[in-house]
Amino acid sequence: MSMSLRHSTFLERFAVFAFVLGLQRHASAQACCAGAGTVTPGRLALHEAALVGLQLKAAGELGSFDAQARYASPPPGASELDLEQDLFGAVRVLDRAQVALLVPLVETRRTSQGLSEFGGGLGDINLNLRYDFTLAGASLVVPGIAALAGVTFPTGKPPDAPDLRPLATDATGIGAYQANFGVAFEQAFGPWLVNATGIVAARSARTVTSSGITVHERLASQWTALGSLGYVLSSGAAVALSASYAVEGDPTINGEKTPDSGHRLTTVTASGLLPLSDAWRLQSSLFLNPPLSHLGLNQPALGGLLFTVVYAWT
Amino acid sequence: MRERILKISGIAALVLLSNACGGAPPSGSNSFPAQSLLVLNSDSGQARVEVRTAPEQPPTRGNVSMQLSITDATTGAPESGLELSAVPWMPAMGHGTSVTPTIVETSPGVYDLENLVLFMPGTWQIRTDWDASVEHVTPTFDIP
Repeated sequence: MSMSLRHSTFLERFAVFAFVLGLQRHASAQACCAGAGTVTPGRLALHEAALVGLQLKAAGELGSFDAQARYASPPPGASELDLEQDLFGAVRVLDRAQVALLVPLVETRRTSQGLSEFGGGLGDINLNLRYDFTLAGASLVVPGIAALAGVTFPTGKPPDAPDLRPLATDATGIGAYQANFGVAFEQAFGPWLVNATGIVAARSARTVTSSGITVHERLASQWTALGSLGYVLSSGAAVALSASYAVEGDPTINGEKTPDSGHRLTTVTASGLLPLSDAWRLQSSLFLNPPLSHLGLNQPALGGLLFTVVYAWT
Repeated sequence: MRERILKISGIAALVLLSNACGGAPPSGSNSFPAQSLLVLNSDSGQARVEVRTAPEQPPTRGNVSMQLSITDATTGAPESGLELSAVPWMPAMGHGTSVTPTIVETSPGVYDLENLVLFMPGTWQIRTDWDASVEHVTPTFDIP
């Protein structure tokens, strides 16, 4: 998977993940704790002081969208499998402010033209801050409103690092800093929880010189809109459906816009959450970039599974 | 094979430069089709460049070979002895590849570029310079 896509899905997965965690808090503490979906990988309830978690991901390539948004299946013999293990933690720093850190390990298996390659390593580390101005369910009129901010550090290897394998399966990062800002709205209606989140991500410019050619590229800002609908069962378990749409404009290379090089991606996610105790909870999600023309642009389409376990301290 | 390519921005010129690339997978066939995939002009307009690819044309994912036939845009004379440099680049993703292409002039004005490892689907540019980076041509492919 492209590193850009990895970061795109990062944001969306975390937003969905946090929303589903919010469902669990909504179930256990109702309006006192629920908050908005967020880019933070772990989201603390008001009564929680800290949490740690592990998220496992496996995704396969379904095909790709070209520069005209046409979907195509992979050519014969070409495939990609993406694996990821994210260790994350969150800690409360103020009554309504929390900080989260995510450390990913990334592995990729690619096949092409009879070749097969597997590699991986430490990915780009992500640090996020969330502040809840209001809480979902606290008012019938005013929804929960949260501000989100974060930064991703280029701790992984970009695909053009000179010591990588030919198919770049050991590439684990984008080689640039990324800053994220967002706002999330969430409201509770009995057992239902509705969320709308907007995120903008900006990345630092990259300069790569190879064979005497210098490429100085600045990617455009990426905008992501996410909507989620969740339902809390009487048992305390919860389910949710989410959809997101990410848009990125044309990049600038050596000072000039490169037309038809932006990208778009639609993602749908079905999630379930099972609280095992006050401290332990499990979550699983199925996500899909629908393999339909015009739902993506300049992007691979993936389908995959997430499994997450969380332990929280009060 | 799907006819999905292209966009192009162009440029042109010549020469030969060999950059070894350790660890690259076997390069594609050097059997280029007679018909060109793209015809571009160099940024200056002084050179005309015919682009062919192998083992498939248009190219698909993997190790691709590309042949550039560079001629004077006015006289049609082959531009031989150019020192070409090339970098594969994915503009939508903001990265290139770890493998450095090998470039050899196989006949006057004809340059074979090997080990273009286009390892993932998407739009790939082959950003190609010569004449001390004064001239440029950028064949662009949509790789499924």
